[in-house]
Amino acid sequence: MSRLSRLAALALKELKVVLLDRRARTTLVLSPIVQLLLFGFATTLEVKAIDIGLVDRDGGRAAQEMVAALDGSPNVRTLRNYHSEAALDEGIARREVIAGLILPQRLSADIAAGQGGEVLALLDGRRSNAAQIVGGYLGQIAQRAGAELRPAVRGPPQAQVQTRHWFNPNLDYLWFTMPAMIAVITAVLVLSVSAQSVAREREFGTFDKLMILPLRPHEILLGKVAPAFVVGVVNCLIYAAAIPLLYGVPLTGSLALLLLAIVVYSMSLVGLGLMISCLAGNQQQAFLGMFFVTVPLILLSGYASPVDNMPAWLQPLVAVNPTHHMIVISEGIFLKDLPGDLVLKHLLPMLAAAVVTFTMAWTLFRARSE
Amino acid sequence: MAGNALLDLDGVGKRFASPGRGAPAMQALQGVGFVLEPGRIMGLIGPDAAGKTTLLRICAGLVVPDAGEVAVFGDSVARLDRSRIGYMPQSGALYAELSVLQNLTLYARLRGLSRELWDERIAHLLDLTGLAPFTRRAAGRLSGGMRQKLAMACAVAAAPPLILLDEPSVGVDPLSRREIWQLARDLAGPETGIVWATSILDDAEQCDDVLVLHEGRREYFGAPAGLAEFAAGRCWSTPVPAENRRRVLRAALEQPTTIAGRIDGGEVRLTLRSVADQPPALGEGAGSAWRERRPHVDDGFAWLLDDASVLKPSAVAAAFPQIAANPDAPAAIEAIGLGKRYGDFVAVNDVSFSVAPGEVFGLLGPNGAGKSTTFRMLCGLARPSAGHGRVAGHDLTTASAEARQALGYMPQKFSLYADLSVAANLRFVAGAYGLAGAHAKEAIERAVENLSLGAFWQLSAGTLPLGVKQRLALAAAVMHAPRVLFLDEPTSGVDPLVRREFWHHITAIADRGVAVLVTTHFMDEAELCDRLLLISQAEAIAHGTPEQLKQQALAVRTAGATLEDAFIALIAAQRERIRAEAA
Amino acid sequence: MSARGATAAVMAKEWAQIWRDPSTIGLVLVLPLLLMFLFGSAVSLDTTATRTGIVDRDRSAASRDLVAAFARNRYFAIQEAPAVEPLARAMLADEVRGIVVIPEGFGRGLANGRPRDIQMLTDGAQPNTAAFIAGHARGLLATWSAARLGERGEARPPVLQINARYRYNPGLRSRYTLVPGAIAIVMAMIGTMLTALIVAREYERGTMEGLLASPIPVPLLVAAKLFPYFVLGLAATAVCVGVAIVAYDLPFRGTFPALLLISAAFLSAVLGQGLLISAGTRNQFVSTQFALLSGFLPSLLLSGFLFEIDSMPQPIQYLTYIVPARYLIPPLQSVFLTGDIWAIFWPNAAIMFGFGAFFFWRVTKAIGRTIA
Repeated sequence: MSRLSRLAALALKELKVVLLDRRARTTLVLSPIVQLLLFGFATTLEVKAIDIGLVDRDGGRAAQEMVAALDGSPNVRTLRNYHSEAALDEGIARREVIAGLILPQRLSADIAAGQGGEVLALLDGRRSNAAQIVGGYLGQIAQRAGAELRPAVRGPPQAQVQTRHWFNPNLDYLWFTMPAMIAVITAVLVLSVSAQSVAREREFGTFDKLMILPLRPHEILLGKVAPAFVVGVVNCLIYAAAIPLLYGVPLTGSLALLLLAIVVYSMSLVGLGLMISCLAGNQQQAFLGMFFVTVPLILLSGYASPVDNMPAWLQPLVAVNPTHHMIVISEGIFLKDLPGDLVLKHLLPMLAAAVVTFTMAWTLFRARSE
Repeated sequence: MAGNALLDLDGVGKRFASPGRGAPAMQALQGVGFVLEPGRIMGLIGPDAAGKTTLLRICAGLVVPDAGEVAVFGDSVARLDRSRIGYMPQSGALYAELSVLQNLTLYARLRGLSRELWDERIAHLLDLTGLAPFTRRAAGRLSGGMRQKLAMACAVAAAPPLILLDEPSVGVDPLSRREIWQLARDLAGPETGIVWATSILDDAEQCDDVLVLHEGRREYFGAPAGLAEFAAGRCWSTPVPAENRRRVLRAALEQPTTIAGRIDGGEVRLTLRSVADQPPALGEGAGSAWRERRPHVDDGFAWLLDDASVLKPSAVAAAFPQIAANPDAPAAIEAIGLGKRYGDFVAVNDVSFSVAPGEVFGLLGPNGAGKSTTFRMLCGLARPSAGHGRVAGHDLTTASAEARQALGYMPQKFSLYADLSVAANLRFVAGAYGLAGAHAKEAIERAVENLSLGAFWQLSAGTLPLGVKQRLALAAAVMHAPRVLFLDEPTSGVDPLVRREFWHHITAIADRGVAVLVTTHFMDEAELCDRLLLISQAEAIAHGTPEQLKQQALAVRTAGATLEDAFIALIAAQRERIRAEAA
Repeated sequence: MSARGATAAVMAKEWAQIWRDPSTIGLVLVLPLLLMFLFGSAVSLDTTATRTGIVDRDRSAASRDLVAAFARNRYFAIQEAPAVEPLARAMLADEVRGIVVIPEGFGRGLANGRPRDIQMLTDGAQPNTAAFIAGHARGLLATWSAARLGERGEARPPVLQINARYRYNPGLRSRYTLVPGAIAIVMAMIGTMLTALIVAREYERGTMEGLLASPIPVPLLVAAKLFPYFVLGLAATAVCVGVAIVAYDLPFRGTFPALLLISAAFLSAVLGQGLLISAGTRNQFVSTQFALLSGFLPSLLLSGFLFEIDSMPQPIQYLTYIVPARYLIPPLQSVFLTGDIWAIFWPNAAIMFGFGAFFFWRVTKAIGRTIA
């Protein structure tokens, strides 16, 4: 009874220290809001408003159709004419246009003669992702222009691919980003709170006072879990509400399961944060330690780029990364109504990570508490 | 108006905006003026938050006053040539991770000393400060006394004609304080003026002039003797047997006629409110052979700042259960051959002592001598390399967490949570000591009532004035009525008014049967202890009552009669012995 | 004369502090290596073989041939199943990203000129991958159909065909885009993070009072504090460029003086930004948080290296104009992949130096001459 009340007093103190601190509040309030808006609006995979260059050596009907098709495309912002291939190349180098088309001299004549015409497209490979997408657009535009030039030419009907995107019919990128954001922001917040916890006591000189109180090491550590925990869970709830409301992402699965996952996930992160905090001598080191851990955690989670694309030798690191598992669970619960057994499959590695990191934090804390 | 005055201030005022949640805006200074002539040392004295730091910063051009005229070197402070002042901020402004030499070089060059001059000047400064053997040591790893000397050397690196020192002797032992004073005099040329801000009244006696600040106003400006003169005819003393002294002093301080008091040699010495008052009759066991005494600066200071308040019997102590005196009771604190090494460095070597219930035991010694390490080993904060310590029957390095329940601890540095309110801090500590519900509420209310913290209840601990912070720290240390109390320099940096109140509580708590272990650099506080242990260079070099220490000092050399003289003589004797052994 | 000595003294002090704190060195050496490794090896937008299920309900010669074509294609790692259900479950469990269903009568339909469409089901929860495999499946089917027509002499070449050539990055490797972006992040981090700490630390520890009480003019003080970190930033950039060229075989087609110019311009902007944060907050913890929010995140998201600025909503586009990294990415990508394009370098460098000058002026104002 008395031990429990001590723990409660400790947890309450830790909570107040974090929540009453004007400085911590900037992290806890400002940073999630900025990230929610910034990520929500800035992360887009679409490529719109592109500038295209044109070298027209043909001057015939094919060129007119091509220009008309380019004008008709909603993604093309401006069309610039260049007098030579070299000038176009220079324009690409100076980033005046992202891509340019070179219409060869006999294009219209060849097409009129019933032959196929080939148009050379130069694209700016410095922006690899955008260039690839623009390449796709240009193919479609050429097809449309071709159909105008020779409407009758259609071969025997061919089998087509009917695509259906499950869980996200319009392939809205936000539907992916937002559920993943829960995992990412929780990582950033929980780690910054917990990484500072012990280091802050050391730097502000409250550590000795804490050690002289009749508290056991594991109680002190458990007390430090409280604020990180509250931060993690409260954020999850806010995001779970804000994401469907602001961005229209459906929440198809069980909120309770999501909360459970966040609890386990936060535990694994708190353990990690406390480890950093026990090792750090001052706040600056704790902060840098936190940064050095958070960045790989996020970049190896499947958030920045698909896990499938990572080399095989990095996959074991992904498999032990709690953020990766949390993203899978969050995506699953938001979009896929993920069944409980599959949630469990990703919950267990996070639980294991929590146990390991806590044990290590406890050992470090005892070793460094003198 | 003096033609060549270094400083000439007239009607200076400064107001600061509210420092934080709930705290009011503060009038730091109001209508302050003074003149500093070349070749003089001016003491700037006053309690916490009197405006000393603000006034120094105004003289250094770091704070712009709202009102009044400030002339430095006969010209407006706005056109101040900063290379001609040596300002030592309270923090010392040392770079803790940089070496002694790096710090000195930085400030020498910053103040515009040229290459040819600076080597010579630095060598001279190192020589004067005695820091020459430690040039490569990081400033953060120096002892408190050495750090202050280094900070002063940095401030005066370019031999400026005006030196402004903000509490250079705070937290420093008597020996180092003497050295710091000597250093200041060595550094000052015949034309140099020094402003020395302090809350330690012994410093004031050494100054040519003193300016007493209180709540931002000038209360006195003139020679120290003039300050002492305020208390003429009000100072009395009487011999009292050792076992009664503390109780007698406490009873005297609770009289409405008494402003201040202390133990001086074998006597209780009081400052009375009025020349018409007679020293109180203190009942049996107390002496009644009152003699009038020559007033000191601290007597005059106490009279000048007297707000007509009367110390009440310590309610903090009343909350402790009375532990019956029992001569057979086991020691409450025991150190048996305690030793601590860090690599090759011996921090504490074979220190043994014991403290009985009801005893106030003082640990004295120069900065860095090993007092704090001894303290930390007994509390279980550091693991001894040799010997062991016991507190209330437990070895705290191995005992369970519950054993720490018997212990109250007040660290040297304020160590409560600055962002939490007074209420939240106390609630946390109560909870950590296992007090819950009505018990916790009662204990907190009692602490708040007894230490007059009610007005600060909702304020963040970090924004409190120093004296209130110390009261809060004491409240946190005694809330659970521990049987053993550890106080590590509880009055460091605190003004005389708060120190008096503090010791009033400490001695009363000890009389309830609590064992108190305390470290201090103030010899008037050491006089209040039952027994003292003097630690120097990791060794215990003297042990006994204050009177016994003075006797031991007389045995090694002829010294003055005060405890401070004894302190210095005993350490000097140890140094000579070490030098002789080495030779 | 004395001002120069004082400036040199502050600079020497900064260097001494840097050498004494291992975490600073960590930031300069470890952070570049870590970020280069992550962006060079871990983060990749190049889709490789995607695990895809396939259900052949037809089991005709044509359908078997199509399945074989999928199995041969380098973008697909095929896993065949008798029915959709087990694959649907596998998709839930992230084991496949798409399912191709060849309908019954596919072969017959092709033969009698009434072809039946195949179905591609994707995991929309991974929109990037979903879009890629849907596109690849379309391409594969078109090629396969054309090849079959060709075998029967019925080939119909398209009227207009695009022959795409990717300049500066013929293999269209995402690493070529990501690694220069990572360098920008490293510089932004060193610039804002490190400097965000340095003035705040002086205020927190009370050493600022000592500096302000000395005769050194504030602009010189700021410059002296800045310079060592400028050098560190350049050193970190050098580490990054070395790793990019040696370990990740990025081409370096520009010249080093050009690289130096744009790095110096960017560093002047972010160092100034960090110092301003530091002088404004006077608190290390808040400083680092602001540095993270105003330095790291915008450099990652609003600089145009991951997401196209032109495709962002208009208000966000305006916001990118005050992100210094926006002006760094184009010259940095060019100096690696294209060469010295001074038409890109000069205006961007000028804007970044402009930011630097503005921040420097603001810092000088913020520090002022007084303490309170």
